[in-house]
Formats: sequence, C-alpha cells, structure tokens
Amino acid sequence: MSRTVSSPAAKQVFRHEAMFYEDLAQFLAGTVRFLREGIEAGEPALVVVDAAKIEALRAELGNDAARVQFADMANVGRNPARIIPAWKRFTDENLRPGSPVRGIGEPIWAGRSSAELIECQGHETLLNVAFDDGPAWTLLCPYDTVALPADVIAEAQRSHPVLVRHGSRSSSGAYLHEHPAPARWDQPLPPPPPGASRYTAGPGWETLAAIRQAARTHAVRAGLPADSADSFTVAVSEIASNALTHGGQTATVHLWVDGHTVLCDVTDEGQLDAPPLLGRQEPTLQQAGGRGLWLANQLCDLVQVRTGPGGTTVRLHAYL
Amino acid sequence: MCYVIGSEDEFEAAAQRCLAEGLAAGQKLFRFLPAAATDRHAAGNGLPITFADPARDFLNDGPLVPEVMLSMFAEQTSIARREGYTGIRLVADMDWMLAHPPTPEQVAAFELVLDKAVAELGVTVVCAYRPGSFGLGVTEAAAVHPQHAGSGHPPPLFRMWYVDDDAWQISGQVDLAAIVAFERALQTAAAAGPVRTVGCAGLAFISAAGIAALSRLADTPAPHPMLIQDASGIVRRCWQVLGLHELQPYVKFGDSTSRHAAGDARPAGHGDAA
Repeated sequence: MSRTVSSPAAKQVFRHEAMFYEDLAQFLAGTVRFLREGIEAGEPALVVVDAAKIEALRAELGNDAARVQFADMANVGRNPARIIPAWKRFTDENLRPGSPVRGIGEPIWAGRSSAELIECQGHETLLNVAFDDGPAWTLLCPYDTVALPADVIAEAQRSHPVLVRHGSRSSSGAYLHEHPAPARWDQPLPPPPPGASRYTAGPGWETLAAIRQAARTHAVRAGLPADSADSFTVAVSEIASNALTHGGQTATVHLWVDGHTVLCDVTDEGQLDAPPLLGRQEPTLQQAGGRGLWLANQLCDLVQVRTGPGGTTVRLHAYL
Repeated sequence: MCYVIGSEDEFEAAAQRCLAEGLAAGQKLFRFLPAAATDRHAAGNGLPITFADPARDFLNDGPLVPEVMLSMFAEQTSIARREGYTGIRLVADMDWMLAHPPTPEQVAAFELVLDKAVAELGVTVVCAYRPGSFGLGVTEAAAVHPQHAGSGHPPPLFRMWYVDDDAWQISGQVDLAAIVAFERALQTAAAAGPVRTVGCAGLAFISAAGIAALSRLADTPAPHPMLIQDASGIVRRCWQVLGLHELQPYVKFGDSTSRHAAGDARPAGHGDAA
C-alpha cells in the first residue's frame, strides 16, 4: 500500500527517497528534475554516483552543473560505511536553518558483491537513524530496477519511506520505521574456510604484536601493496584490541584470501552493545575511545560486524 | 639506560665495564645504592668511585623529591667539571628508592624528569632495576629510557625519552598492552612544559588510542604548535582519517630536517642521554 506524498520542499524533515529507474534516460529525467528544483530554490546539492553518470549529469545540467558538487561513489562508497560520514560532512557544511540541501546517492549497483550488498542495505537503513532527528534535507537514492535483483528493490522499499517512480512520489507501505537490526549485525556470515590461518590473541596466547606480524605477512604474501598491508594490519590490531577490551580474555583471528580479497575475522565471546552508527561517526578530540571501528572502516574496503549471544565477529576485507 | 637485573654477577660485570668506560672518557664516577649494600662494593675494583645512598645522603631519609635529585645532579656535574672531569657517569642500583617504595607511576615520572635533566647536563646514567623489587615499575621504568639492557626483563614495548628542550622521542610499539604507560609518560612529559616536537623515527606501531593520546599532547596545557617528526606513512594516514589534521591544524608532520616547522626557535643540539 502506498499514498502520494508532496514534493521535498513541502515538509521540513529529512526525506529519504528511493528513485526507481530502468535506463539512463529515466535516471537523468528523475535526477535532473530533482537537482533543478534545488538549484531554483538555491539549495546546495551533492551528487555521489558513478563516474559515467556524473559525466552524463554534467552534460545534461549544462552551466547549472557548476552549482552542484559531484563525487564518485566508487571512491566515497567503496566501503559503504564511509558514505554516512560524507553526507554528514556535506550537511554540516551546507545546512542552515530554513535552508535545506539535497543529495543524490547511488550506493547500490549491479556490480556489488553479496558482502558489499548487505552492508549497503544496512547503510540505507542507517541513513534514517543518522538523519531522521536532524534538520530538513532530501536524499534521493536511485535504484536500477533492470540491473538489480527483485529482492534488492524490495529491500529498498523497506529502507526508504518515500518511493519515486516516473517522477511521481509515494510513501512506501513496506517501509520499516523501526528496523530491528538497522546495521545488519544479526545477519550470518559464511565461516572462514578450513584452510584459514588461525591465531588466538590474549594473555598467555599470542600478543597483539604477534597478531600484527601475522596479519602483515599474510597481506603482503597475498599481494597487497606495502601501504595497503600496513592499513590492513592497523585495522586488524584495532579490532583485536576491541575484542580483548570488550569481548573477553581472548580473541580468535582468522586470516585467508578469497579471490581478490584478503580477509580477516576477529571473533570474541562478548555480545556487542553499541549504537548502530558505531564506526560511522567521526571521532572527536574529547572522546575516550571508539576510534577502532572508525579507523577500520577508513582503512579497509569493507567491514562487517556481526553480534549475538554467541559472540561478536568483525570481518575485514582488503581488495587486491 | 635502563638495566634490568637478571643476575647479580652479570650486573656487577656490566657496571664495572660501564664505569671503566667512563673513566677512560674522563668522567667522574658515581655509584648509587642502598647504604646497606655499600660495603659490598666499597672497593670499587680499583676504580675511583664515589658511593652514595641518595635516600640517606640527599633526601634525609625522606621520600623521593625529584627536584632535590635534579639539583644534586646539577651540583655534582658542576663540581666534577671544576675538578677537571668531562662530566659524571653514574651507575644507580635503584633499590635505593625502596626506603620509601614508589608506585610504578612515580618511578616513570621520576625517570622522565631525570631523563630530561641528565640530557641537559650531559650526564651518563645507568638505572638498574630488579623486577623483584619494583614489579610493574620495571616495565614503566624501562619504557622511559632510550636504551635497555640486562637479562632480567624483556625489552619494553615502547620507549619514550627526552631529546632536548621541548622535544621527546618515541620508539617501539604502542598498543593495548602499552597504552596506559604511554599515556602516563606523555602526561609526565607535558607536565614539564608544552611538548613541541615528538620524534617517531623508531615508532613501529601506534594504535588509534595512542594517536589520540599523542594528539592530546598538543593541547596540553593549551593548544600549541607541535611537530611530529619522522612518522611513518601509516601514522600520517591514521592521523588524517581520524580527522586530526582538521581538528588540530597546529600539529604538523615533518622529517628530521624540518624540526622548526612547528614554529619554535630552539637551537639544535642533543644531550648525552644514556
């Protein structure tokens, strides 16, 4: 069930809209209309889509393209956990009382891996958590209904309160106002393969220094460049530290390679009790802790957090 | 240097070698040790050594007062130079502190202050600790010395020591196991005045919590220019992704040749911290 809703400017709240399109022409029709409305209203706008669509939008907008900021989603959203901080930064810099902003973000495309896809869907839900209680602005999320599977489109209807089809807005009857697991921390992960290297960190076991050495050796042997191997190693160390600090006496670390991805699981016996935006809020100078997951998100290509009564696992991905 | 005593014979041999080297370098030789142990070493194996129990001879059997000890070092250095020595060399059996047993925090704080003083005076000091006497204090004491020797304790994860004026050096690995001692060492350094240069040439790893502690150093006691020198690429990257380059624009990164980039006008030169 759905009902028609008004245009973005009518209601002063955060509006999170999914726009369904079937081809580039529909994509441009919907996004250019959305952007021109904002340009006419004097609203700052940021578009985060792939490079080809940025090029097409610039051409379509002509001189008005100079009034829109663009960023390549392949960079900003390589790890989907970095997208909310980017929107937060944009809104912090541009939102003024009574003067909304608007954005277009397409974090989900057909080439995403299944691991990325689930994290992107969590990202879409977390946008509501991050901005629902804040000032008014509108974020339009295009979905390619031809290239993406039906279950992805169905999930978009659950994470977006407003749907846009052929220029017509309607409320989503499937929208989950209170998602039970907005960050998808409850979704199962496939276990590490039998051949994965296994270490235990903690008192009487391996030191964190030894875990770092193992992680870096593993990353370099897998083919990661030295600076990426350093980043991966720091992320492993941070997550293992978190596990030892919050999860119990020991942390189990698995390292393996899957295709073009270097992976590390850090598992402990504690259940994570934290706000769902953990790792997606830029640290302040004053805060005592909470930098580890943020750092991992910034240094790795994908980070997956899973927790439950049986313990917590954080899986780090670094792409070769 | 921090010497962690594993075997008394090994320590005694090392002490004699160290003092003999000092004699050859024209330094006046000192040994600090508890009064009860003085007789055991009184002969000095033929070396001209001045023995003292600081607790009895400088502190009037009272608790450790770092300022008194620092004044003593300055005075003895001055006397030695007037006598024609190039400086002083001291081997200190830190059991002398046990008359009023210090906490690990007090040991580390004293050592950091001492480190700064001996560097400024050009004094060579070996501080020898027994793990059985100081427990966790040995770990913290070892961490605040630029060098480590002795078989009584594994090397500390990190080290932090005074270079000169308002510059300190960090090496090793700062992770969960070292963060408490590291934060304490930074606080002690900052208590002596704003730290304007932190050398990181030997810093192999520092955690996010360690970087946060380092960033707080630039705001102690108030925001001031600070140069982080010779940091690795990953430390710089972590600093950036933690947003610290924007939160603290007065902290700069540079290499050893850009020491004055943080805006200080300190003359170059290093003390002979050992």
